[in-house]
Amino acid sequence: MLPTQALTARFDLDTSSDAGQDGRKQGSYGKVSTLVSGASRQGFRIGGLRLMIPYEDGSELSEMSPIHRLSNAPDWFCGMANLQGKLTPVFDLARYVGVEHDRGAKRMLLVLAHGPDAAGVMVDGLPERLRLSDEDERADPDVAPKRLSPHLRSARYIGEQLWFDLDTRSLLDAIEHSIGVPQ
Amino acid sequence: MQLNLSRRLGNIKIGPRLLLSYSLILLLMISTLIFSASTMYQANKHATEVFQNNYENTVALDNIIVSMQIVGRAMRSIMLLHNDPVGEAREKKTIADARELYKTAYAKSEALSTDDKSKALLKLMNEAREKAVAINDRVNLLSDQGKRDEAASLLLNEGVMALEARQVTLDNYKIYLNAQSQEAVAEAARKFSNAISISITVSVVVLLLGGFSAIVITRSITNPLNSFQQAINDVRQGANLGALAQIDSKDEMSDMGFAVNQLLQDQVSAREKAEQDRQKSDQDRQKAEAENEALNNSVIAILQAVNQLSQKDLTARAPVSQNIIGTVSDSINQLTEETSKVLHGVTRIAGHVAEASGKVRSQGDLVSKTAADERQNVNEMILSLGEASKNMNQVATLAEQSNRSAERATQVTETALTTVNNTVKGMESIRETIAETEKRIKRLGERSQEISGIVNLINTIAERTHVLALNASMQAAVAGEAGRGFAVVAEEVQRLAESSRNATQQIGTLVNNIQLETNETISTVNRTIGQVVHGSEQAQQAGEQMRLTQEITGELVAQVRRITVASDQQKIMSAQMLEAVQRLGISNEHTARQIETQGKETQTLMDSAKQLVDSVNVFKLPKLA
Repeated sequence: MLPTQALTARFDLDTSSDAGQDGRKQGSYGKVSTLVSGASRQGFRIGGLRLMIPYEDGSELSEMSPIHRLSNAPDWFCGMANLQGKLTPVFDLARYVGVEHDRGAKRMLLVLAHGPDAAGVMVDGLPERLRLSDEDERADPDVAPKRLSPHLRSARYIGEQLWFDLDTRSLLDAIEHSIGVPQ
Repeated sequence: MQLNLSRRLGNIKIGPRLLLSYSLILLLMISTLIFSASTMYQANKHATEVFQNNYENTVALDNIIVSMQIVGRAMRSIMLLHNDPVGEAREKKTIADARELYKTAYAKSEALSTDDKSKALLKLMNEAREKAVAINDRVNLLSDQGKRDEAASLLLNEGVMALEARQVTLDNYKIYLNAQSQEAVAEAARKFSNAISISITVSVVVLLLGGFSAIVITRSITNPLNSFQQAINDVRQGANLGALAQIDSKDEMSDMGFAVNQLLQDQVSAREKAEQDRQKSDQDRQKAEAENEALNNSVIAILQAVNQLSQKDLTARAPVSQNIIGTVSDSINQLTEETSKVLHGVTRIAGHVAEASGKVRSQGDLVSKTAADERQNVNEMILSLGEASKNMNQVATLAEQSNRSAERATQVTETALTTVNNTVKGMESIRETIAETEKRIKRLGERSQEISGIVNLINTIAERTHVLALNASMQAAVAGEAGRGFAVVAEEVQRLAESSRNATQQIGTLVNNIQLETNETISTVNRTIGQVVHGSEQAQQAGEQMRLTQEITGELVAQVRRITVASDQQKIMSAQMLEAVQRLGISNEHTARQIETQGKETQTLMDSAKQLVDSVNVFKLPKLA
């Protein structure tokens, strides 16, 4: 990852993360400044859970590659995958947050973050492009699984579906921290 | 011979002789009348009983035939009724009523059958009827169990055979009754003929005997009188004792003859003595002449009385003098009185004969009236038999109509069988067409599967394009402002990819729907083929059933034809029976004419009795005290 990119990304992520945390602390929804009307997000599904991230938080979307499990790793840590010559850790967020995958959907591998921080997560089906609007109804992100709630910036209804705005950096840090701590 | 008989009769007194003769004639006539009346009465009674018995028996037999026809018609109706429980119940009620009618008629026939042969024929008829009833009950049981084909087969085979056997027993019984009637007619005619012949013969014999006895008795009376008259005339003309009448009889005439002879002998003796004493004394001669004159006068008076008697005037009496002639006169008067009494008796007996003849005439009229009643009964029987013959003709007509209906049913069944066979062929053609359609639909499904594979390929390409567009978008986003234009392109590419994916999904959905509908269509076609096969099998079964129906209908037609033939035979027999009864009526007419002839003969007998009275009445008789 280029330094400018990493900087921009960090800046955006931190801003979003801070704003989301402030919003939850203030007890109000939809006050995230980064979620401006007309902005686009990449939305993906993990079972019944719908998450969205900025496009710049993702680095690659691919078919499921062979994953090599690591011994004594948590069950939500699927293992390491060789993505274009780079060893990339792959996590099963469904197991991590305690939801079930959609068995009828095609399993895809979405690589979050860039460079050495990149990590893959298994998503159900192809991601889709979301277009945000001020008219979207806000929702309480606490309805999300407890292990995921600290890493959500906000929640809103797009169309008739509830989407959670995921703080990728926070989630990956938490996962990294979790891997270091025995389960 | 006649003289000998008259001479022998002369040994009997005139009164008993006449009484014996007329009593004998009267006894013969009465015996003849009693015999004739008894014979005719018995013949008439026997014929009447037989006719009445056979008439009631024929009526009962007609009821039996009617009950049999009702049961047969109801059984056929039950076989023809399908899913009509009300109609079947109505027909079974009709059968029960007909069986009650049969029981009543059979009990009547059984009570009327007195001889062993008729009882045996009646028993055979009842046994045949019980067999037919058992078969009908089995047919009804099979029909109630839904086995109509088996029931129809049983009815058409065993049922019709039992019906024919029963018809044979009925015909035998009717033939026997007819023969019994004819025998009774012949017996009655023979008895009437014998009675009339005997009556005529005996009447002629009685008339001959009566005439002969009248002549003999009359001559037995008149001959001695003529002889006496001749002897007296001879003596008056001076004849000697050789002129005296010879007396052979021992009746009143002989007494009178002896008296006359004695008188004549005395006269001759006196005349001879006077002739001998004429020379002795004139006084004695005069006295003798005077006595002789007195005697002559007395004799003349007697002769005049006798002459009057010979003129059949029995009221004449000879004067009774104090001399010897008075004795003769008294004897003649006694004879005349006895003869008058006898003739009075004859007249009375002739009156009795006339009265008896009148009673015989009355009895003959009664017999004639009975014969007239019998003719009326026979005429009623002819009318009844004519009605029965008419009914049998109607039955024969119905049988003919049934025959034509059965033939039409055969034609309709053949047409239906042809239609069913054509239906089977049509179903086979439909099955072949549907099988070809199934193949085409399967090929269509295979084509849709190929389309589905292509659509999947397009979808895969669209997905990969989508993935590439997302990756491009992410890379453009990472590139920041530099990659913003590329991000727009990537977004458009992603949108196109999504559109393609949506389109391919829609196409896939459509193809899947086509495949599902194709599969459903194939399933439907398979079910249709199965239904067509089932329909073909049912049509074949229907054809087989129609063929069986055609066979059964053919058997039914044959049975109906046999019934038609039997009805025709029955019609002929009815006509023969009607003809026999008509002959019986003609015989009764003949009998009536013979009875009328007998009445005429009786009238002749009455006339003869009257003539007898008239012949006796020629004697002038004194009035009875």
